[in-house]
Amino acid sequence: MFDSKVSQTEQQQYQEKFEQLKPKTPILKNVIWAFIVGGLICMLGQFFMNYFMSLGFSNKEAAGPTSVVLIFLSALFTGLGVYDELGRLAGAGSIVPITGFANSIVADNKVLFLPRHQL
Amino acid sequence: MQTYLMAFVIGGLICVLGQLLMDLTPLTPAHVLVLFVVLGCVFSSLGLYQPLIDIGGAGATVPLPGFGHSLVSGTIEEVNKAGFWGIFTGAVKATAAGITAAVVFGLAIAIVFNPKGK
Amino acid sequence: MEGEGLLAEFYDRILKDTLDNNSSWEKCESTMMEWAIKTAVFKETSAIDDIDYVLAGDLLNQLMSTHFAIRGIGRPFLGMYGACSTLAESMLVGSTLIDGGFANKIVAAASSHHDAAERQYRFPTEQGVQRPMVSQWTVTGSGAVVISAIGNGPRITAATVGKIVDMGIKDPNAMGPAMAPAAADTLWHHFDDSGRQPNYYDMIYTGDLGSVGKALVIELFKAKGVDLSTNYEDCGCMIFSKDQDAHAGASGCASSAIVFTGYIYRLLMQQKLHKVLLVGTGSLHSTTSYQQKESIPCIAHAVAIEM
Repeated sequence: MFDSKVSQTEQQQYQEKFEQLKPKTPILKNVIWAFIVGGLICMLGQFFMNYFMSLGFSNKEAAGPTSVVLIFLSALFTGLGVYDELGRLAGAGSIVPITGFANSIVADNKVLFLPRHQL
Repeated sequence: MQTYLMAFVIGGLICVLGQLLMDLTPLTPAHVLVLFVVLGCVFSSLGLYQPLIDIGGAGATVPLPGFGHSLVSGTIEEVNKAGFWGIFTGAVKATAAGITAAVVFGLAIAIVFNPKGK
Repeated sequence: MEGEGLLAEFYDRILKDTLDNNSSWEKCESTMMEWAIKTAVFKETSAIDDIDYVLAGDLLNQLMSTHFAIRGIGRPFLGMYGACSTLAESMLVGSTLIDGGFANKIVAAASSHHDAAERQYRFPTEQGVQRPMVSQWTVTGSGAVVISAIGNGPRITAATVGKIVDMGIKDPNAMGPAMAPAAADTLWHHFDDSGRQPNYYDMIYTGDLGSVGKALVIELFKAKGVDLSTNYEDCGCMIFSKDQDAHAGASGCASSAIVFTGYIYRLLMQQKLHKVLLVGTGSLHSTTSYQQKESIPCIAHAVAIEM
């Protein structure tokens, strides 16, 4: 059907055909979920920030402990195997906040350790 | 309440931007992660990120551009304080808490939990 | 996940999770393959020592799962790599060995494991990423067949070795669409060489093109004036149900391996199918080639099985 050396026009035609048949990404749904989940994570961050500010941290100083708490929560939920379920729904909503950074570090770290025998 | 609402809106919008980049361009989540930190650095050095934090609070500091902003503002601060060496120490000093937390919690969680398959 | 899918009743054994009491996913894949080979040999009522050659492969680097599985088999072994086309490739080479008089009985086997493949090719399983709609879900499973010079089972009557076709698709999430031209090419040459028409076969099965790749094969044949849609199906569209969220379908060596050994073979034995063409499809990229922005070279091998 094809010559051993496929011409560039053939490649282009095929790729165009593929683009036509490619299932559409549900962008609107993804964007809405990203907004809601991303917004909620930031609201949670604001809650901890306000708490640390009430302890006497300045606006700027409170950002550090806030990210530490969020990173801990994200690591914990990654450990429990919940964060990736959230990520499937929220996409960038759970990747862009600092928690997504922690998630990728934990997920990468975890595969370095062999799972222990499950009883 | 106002601050929570603004954190939600600004944080949500930054995530929407990331989602659009992932859905409409061939960028992968890893690209977006790195790109956003770099963007944070750029906007911060142009002095455009601090105003966003003033409006959005955690909505601007929690997403990754906030991390980029900390890198740059930390460097600038340290350069003003310690001079030339601040270029090498400032960025990491400002973000030390986050980096250490990610490494320590990452390691601890990896030891405690088994990786889960699907 | 496979055990909750559409063909659950056809499998010989369904594991309760993706570790099955092994300490790693890779070990689980090895045990699956070892079990599949031993069971296939047992069902054929021979002893493992009657097997002249084992031909097998999987998706992991250096055929890790296969090599550790074969360690427990103790028979002469040839490692096969055709990515997801491995079972068809092994059957093709194995039947040639028998036809040439070099062997009386061989085993062809292939396996894949979703979590082990994800960690090698994509992301760690727990990283919260969204899978694109075109992506497919690697099947966790293993299938083995015994091919013998004598016997009453279905016979391999023809086979076509494919050539590498690369249509310049670079997205490793779109493996089905990347492989579709290779499958179409092999099918085309198979019909051309053998003089058989598509309607010669009761069913033509491709390995793991998924819903998008399947549609593309039909399109490619339509452009050549051949209607394939009546007796053509893709194994990747047969394993998971719609609500299992596998997006474009199943992929992996095990896709064609478990559908062929579980479902198609049983239908052949029950005389519900008589003439089947199995086209194993493989995308031969690696993580390195993807990082170097290479496109995906693809291959397909066809094996005709008749009862």
